[in-house]
Amino acid sequence: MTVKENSPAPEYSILLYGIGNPARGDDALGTGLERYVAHQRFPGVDTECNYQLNVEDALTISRYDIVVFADATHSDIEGARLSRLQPSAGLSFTTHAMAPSHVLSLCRELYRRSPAAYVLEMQGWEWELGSDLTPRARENLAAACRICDRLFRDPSPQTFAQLAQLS
Amino acid sequence: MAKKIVIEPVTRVEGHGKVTIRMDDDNRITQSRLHIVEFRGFERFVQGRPYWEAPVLVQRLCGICPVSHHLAAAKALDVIVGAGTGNGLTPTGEKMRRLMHYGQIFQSHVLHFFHLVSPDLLFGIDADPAIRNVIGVALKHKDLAVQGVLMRKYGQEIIEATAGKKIHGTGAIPGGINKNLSIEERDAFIKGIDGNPQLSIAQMIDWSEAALALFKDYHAKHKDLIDSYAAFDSNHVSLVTPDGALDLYHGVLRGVDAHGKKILNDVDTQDYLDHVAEEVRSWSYMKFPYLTSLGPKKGWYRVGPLARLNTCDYIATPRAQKHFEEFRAYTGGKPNNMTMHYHWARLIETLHAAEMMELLLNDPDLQKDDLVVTGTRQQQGVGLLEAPRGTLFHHYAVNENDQITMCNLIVSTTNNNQPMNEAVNWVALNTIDGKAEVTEAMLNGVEVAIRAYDPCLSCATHAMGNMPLEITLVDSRGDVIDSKRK
Repeated sequence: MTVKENSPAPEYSILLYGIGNPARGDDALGTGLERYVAHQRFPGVDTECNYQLNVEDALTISRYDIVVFADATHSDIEGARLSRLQPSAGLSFTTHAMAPSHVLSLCRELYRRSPAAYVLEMQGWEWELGSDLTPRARENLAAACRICDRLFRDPSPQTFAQLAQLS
Repeated sequence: MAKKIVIEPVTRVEGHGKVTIRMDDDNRITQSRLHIVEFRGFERFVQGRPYWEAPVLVQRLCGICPVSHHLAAAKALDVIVGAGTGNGLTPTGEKMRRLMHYGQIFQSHVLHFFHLVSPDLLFGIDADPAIRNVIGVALKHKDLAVQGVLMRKYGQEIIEATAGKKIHGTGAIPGGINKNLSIEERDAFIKGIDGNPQLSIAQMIDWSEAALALFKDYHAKHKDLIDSYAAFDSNHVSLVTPDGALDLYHGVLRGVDAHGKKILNDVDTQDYLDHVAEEVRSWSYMKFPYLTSLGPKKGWYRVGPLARLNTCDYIATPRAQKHFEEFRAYTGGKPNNMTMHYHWARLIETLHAAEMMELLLNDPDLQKDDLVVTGTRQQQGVGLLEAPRGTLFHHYAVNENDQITMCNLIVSTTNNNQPMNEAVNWVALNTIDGKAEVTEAMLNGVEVAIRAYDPCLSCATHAMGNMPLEITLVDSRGDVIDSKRK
């Protein structure tokens, strides 16, 4: 397993899942945040990362109470945005990748588990192979790191709900 | 008014692909093309980098088959460090790489069948798209969906144990491998990962057989569809061992025509440029490879599971061999040119990959410590292997400062460019031509034909919210008549 398990989970088991290709400019936002969270070693918070989500991630997230998917987005948002995620049984539009809502839906159908799931989006602009994060994307990553600090230092469903409303 | 139908991007096909079907005023098909935006920047990206970085760097190309690129690059660099052209590694080095490769083949083929193809087989290609997807499979055929998840996970765990990481693995290095397989890892894969017997190699083999049974049952009930849909004659190319066995990791290049005549006679992979060239066409970003001896019009060929079972003479694992004999008998020993039989061939390879993993896991060479060899430094190296989607070519030249000065890649999906266009054309002419209305089922029919090839368009960037399906209908002047987004 690549899940980096930190100290034993206290009250809630939490997974931060960074999505993206670290070699393609701002697509590295999700995996960059994953590295930050792993480095902080928040109690009870595990991390995982991959280029994209896939069917086996339904099994991975089934083991957690709370899951946060961190990813780059084209959407015009300020800093970083935390949103509550609902399962969706809609179409998956690419061959080999699944949307977070579809993984959540698959988890519910296969394992009868519905972790409280959130998406932490950070806007990106450049996606070229070999390029670094753009300066604006770095600022968004920093904003996402601050959100994670608040979420994971004293995690509770209330904190997540509050920050999802605020951001 | 002439019409043009555009499907962009093709659903459940990686990256950015666009199908354009032009129709005249009488709804007759005048032209059909598959446009693929192929990513070529990588060849420039690696120039000037130290050659030993290549096996890791190439994985950044694609999140779908990074292991194939990792191993093909390592094979090319084996030549450059003087470790031979495929048979010069230590037993541990070669067998660890093979285990990695079969893990990759297994999980990739499983994903394709359970995630992408089974919805079409279980619900029908004209079924409501709201249920014709993996979630629909989970709802109606839960056991099958669970099998798919666990089989995929098993392959991913094999990759992690051999490559070191699930993404950006570092296992294969020029001249060998950087780790062996521990006793604990071996036992987990044999008896069941995390003590779960459903994640054992024996279970993987049994489920691979079950997937084949599912396909064969569907085939028996839908012979017309599976045997005729998007079928056309073609050449076929793949690696085989010098004695003709299926070998996904190494071999010589063999080509046969639609009737079984050898058109590429077991050539050394280091000489591929003498036999394979690529044509550029103005309307497509992706090149069109062909065999130079036949030229671009007659020399195009198919690669991948169907081609591999057409070029090889036998499979060296017993269960897969039994199915291979049935597969070959179906066409009287001649090459099989039925596009939908890619699925059959892919499942036979899935079983073969599971059997190969079992053989390798029980091989004590995997616990030995002789991992790397070196020899006389060379200036160029070519590495070919059979990736899940077909033959993958990596070619590097290196200067005296160990910097890469040239890189040439021909990826599997590029090899299948012309065949996929042929498939789209077949579907357009046979299911859309003359129809006044183009339905969702017809459009999915185009995608079913393309999906048989399991194309991967190496985008590997996916930022959230950027994967819609758009269908646009425009007239001959380029004006949009209708546009759908789902």
